[in-house]
Amino acid sequence: MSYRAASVQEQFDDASQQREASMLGMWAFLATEVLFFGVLIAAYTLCRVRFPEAFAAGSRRTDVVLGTLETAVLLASSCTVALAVRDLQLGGRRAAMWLLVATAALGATFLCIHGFEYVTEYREGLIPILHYAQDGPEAIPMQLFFFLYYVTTLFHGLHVTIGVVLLLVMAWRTRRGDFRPRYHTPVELSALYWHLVDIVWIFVFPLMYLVGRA
Amino acid sequence: MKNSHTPASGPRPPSLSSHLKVFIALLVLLLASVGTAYIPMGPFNLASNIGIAVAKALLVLVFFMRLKTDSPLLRIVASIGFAWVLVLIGLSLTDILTRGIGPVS
Repeated sequence: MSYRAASVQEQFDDASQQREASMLGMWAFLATEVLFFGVLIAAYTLCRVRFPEAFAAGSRRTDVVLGTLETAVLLASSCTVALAVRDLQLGGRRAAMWLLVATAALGATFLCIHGFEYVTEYREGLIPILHYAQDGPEAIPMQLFFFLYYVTTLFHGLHVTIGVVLLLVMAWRTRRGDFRPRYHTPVELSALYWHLVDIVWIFVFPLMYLVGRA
Repeated sequence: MKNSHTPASGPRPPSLSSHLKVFIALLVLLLASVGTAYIPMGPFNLASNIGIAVAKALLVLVFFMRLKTDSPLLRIVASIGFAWVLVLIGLSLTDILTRGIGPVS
């Protein structure tokens, strides 16, 4: 079973070419992901140019402490998944499996913290359509900020959820002994996906949480 | 020809300490990003926010995603997605920021 997975498919010359094709395909997919979130950030940019005050007011209502904590959690998870790939490449298996499980756990932690934020925001009436109880001069354009905030963070959260499932599958396959130093491409690809989710958050965090704080 | 490829096991494995150093650098940049956000610097608040985010993203791309040591082809493909986003945001801004400039008919 694991031998078949490790063997070179007939369209490739050798294992190295096979790995390179997989990596190239993954990066092409990641480029489309960058464009997907890029469109949301472009929409954010244009709306912020039009309503700078409302965006600063909206950003001040987000929880900067939890936001910073979430960023730190995601950065740590990026490090653990990179270490898992390294460990597999060096012939390890047990440590790699636990590093993958730890990464998934950090991803789940991120989702939980963000869930708390959503609950608080609901209580404060900051969610447009669902429960929006703001008044004052910026209340109407501030909805635009929160629309973008929810669309971006919910799509990001969806990506984190997919990543957590993917990492758990990889941890299970590592435990089953599917991977070896010469063949662990599925883990490498999952790690790339996870790093990209991290990079998206690296940009979302300052744009959503850190505006108008000074 | 074969030798120019990255081996099947992936690029040369990085050292444990290099990964931990990158992680610490990322945390320092995160704190710098939050810290500078509270210093009133006018438009430079935005510049420092974006600048630090770009630095963090580059650290992840170059070291964690191993673009530094992997095949050059991957560096090109990885750059393209970001380049298109820059075009998208850049050209949208040239439109919206220059409206009302010039002779009004």
